[in-house]
Amino acid sequence: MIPKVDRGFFLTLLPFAAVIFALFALLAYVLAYESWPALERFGISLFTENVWKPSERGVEFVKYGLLAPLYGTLVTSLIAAAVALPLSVATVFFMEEMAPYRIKEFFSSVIDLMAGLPTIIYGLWGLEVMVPILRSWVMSPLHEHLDFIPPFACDPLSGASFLAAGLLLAVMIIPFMHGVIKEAYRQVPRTYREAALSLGATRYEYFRIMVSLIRPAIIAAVLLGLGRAASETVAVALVVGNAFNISPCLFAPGYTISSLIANQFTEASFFPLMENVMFAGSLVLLALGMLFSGIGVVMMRRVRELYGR
Amino acid sequence: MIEEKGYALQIEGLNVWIRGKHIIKNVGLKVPKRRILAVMGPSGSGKSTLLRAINRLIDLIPESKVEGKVLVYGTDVYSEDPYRVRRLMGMVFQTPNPFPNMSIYENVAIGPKLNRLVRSKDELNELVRWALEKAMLWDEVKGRLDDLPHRLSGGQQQRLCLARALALKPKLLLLDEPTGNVDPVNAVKIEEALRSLLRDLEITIVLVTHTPHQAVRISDYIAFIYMGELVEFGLTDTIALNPRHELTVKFLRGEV
Ligand SMILES: Nc1ncnc2c1ncn2[C@@H]1O[C@H](COP(=O)(O)OP(=O)(O)OP(=O)(O)O)[C@@H](O)[C@H]1O
Ligand SMILES: [Mg+2]
Repeated sequence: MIPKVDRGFFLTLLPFAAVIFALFALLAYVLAYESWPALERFGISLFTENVWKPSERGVEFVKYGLLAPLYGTLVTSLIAAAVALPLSVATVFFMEEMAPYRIKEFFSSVIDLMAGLPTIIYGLWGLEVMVPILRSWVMSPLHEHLDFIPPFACDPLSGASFLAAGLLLAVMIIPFMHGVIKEAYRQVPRTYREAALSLGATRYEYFRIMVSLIRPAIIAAVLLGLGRAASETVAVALVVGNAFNISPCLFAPGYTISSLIANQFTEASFFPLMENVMFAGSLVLLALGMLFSGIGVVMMRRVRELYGR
Repeated sequence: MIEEKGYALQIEGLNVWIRGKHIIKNVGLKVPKRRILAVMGPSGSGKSTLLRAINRLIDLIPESKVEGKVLVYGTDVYSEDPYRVRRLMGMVFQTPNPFPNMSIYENVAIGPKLNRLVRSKDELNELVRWALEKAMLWDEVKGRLDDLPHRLSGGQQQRLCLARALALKPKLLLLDEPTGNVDPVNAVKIEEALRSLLRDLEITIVLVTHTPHQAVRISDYIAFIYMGELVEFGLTDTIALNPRHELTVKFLRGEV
């Protein structure tokens, strides 16, 4: 029970907290409500087929299936997480264990700053700088020499592709994952570090023990990073190529749910059901996001239980 | 300093500074093989720092500086790779610190695994069992080796840490008040374990302790540290019977 003196204060805060929950519930409700017509019309095929046939003539002429953007979301997020994970773990270890104090603090602030930059900046940088470099120095050579490997099999036309989007997303989620992992890393009490080293662990072995000590946090960072990558919109829309394409080739253009919505929502109202289809797409994102964040939060709690103060 | 045969630990002119503060002041001592040295002294006098200087955990502390020589079974600690010299030694810390994410078994097995001491699973099992027996913990945990260590009592956890250190078959065992945070029953078990180690193995023990009784009960040598200085060092029997230094007298009586 809350002490009497605090009760007034508590009661004044209650409405604000209630509003937040209410807004969230409303958001979920609107998404579900607006998705319903599309779900009712297309059923499961909305998620298992790759078709995009808008028509102004009437409901009976349209057909939609979101498989391509779902595939694109999956592929780009996985590339992003797979690239960002080792890099963020390595930078955390480097900065916490090897970098001199000043350098550590400096880079720490730089990385925090990167996490807060507007995403359109990443998008423009990706489009103007990263994609051309990637195209001429990575994609083209790989395609020329290793085109028998399916992920490298197609010619990188403009450079805008799954790979470009995945790598840009990696750059964008690194600061975030770095932050999550660093927090956990700093929570590991010194006594465990000493225990590991007293057993004669080399730097590398020590690194592996430290990683195992914060494994739940690393899982959390991956899940939260995946969630971020899947929901990133503008930056991806600029570099992913925006094509309804399901291809094992990483150099091919594709789509993600978020970039699809960003690109097409303005025109969606001209076509029957298109808006509803997009709501259904964002409903999937919401569900995934909640699942990932949920598991992530549980993992972080586990870290806190182990080392929490 | 020349290595002298028969000594497990030789310290000469050891000085430690942390952030400019002089913590260990010109300490020198020699411990023959297969003996127990008890290190005593008031809180903050530098006992833990002395242990960390012996196995170079001091390297972890930023802005620390060490001068002087430490020889462990003839190995010059400060001219070798730190991880190689640490493999000669085991350490048990002031508060029990088994790895919370590893099972009881893994906690003991990790040292041998890191150091590639074993070639087969059977050999590892054997070694884990041996270490747990030596730490007098085997009977209590043999049925639940896969449990996480937080299920154990504090005293059991400390014995687990002892087993973890022993599994490396260290020649020098450093113990930082291993019974300081442990109930009397467990304290007795740990003392028994230490004594039987010395009987059966080629091992030498440096034991930091707060309790004069413990020191007198189990040690062969006593070093008494006050404000970083070694004010008294010698055979336990001699020091217990006629301590030369006034501070030692007080400490043995429990007045400091
Ligand atoms: N990591 C560190 N950073 C700064 N000062 C330290 C550090 N470790 C030890 N010291 C200082 O060194 C001195 C000796 O500490 P130490 O832990 O060795 O004492 P101790 O004899 O083990 O005490 P206790 O009996 O309380 O464990 C203290 O003044 C302490 O403040
Ligand atoms: Mg201490």
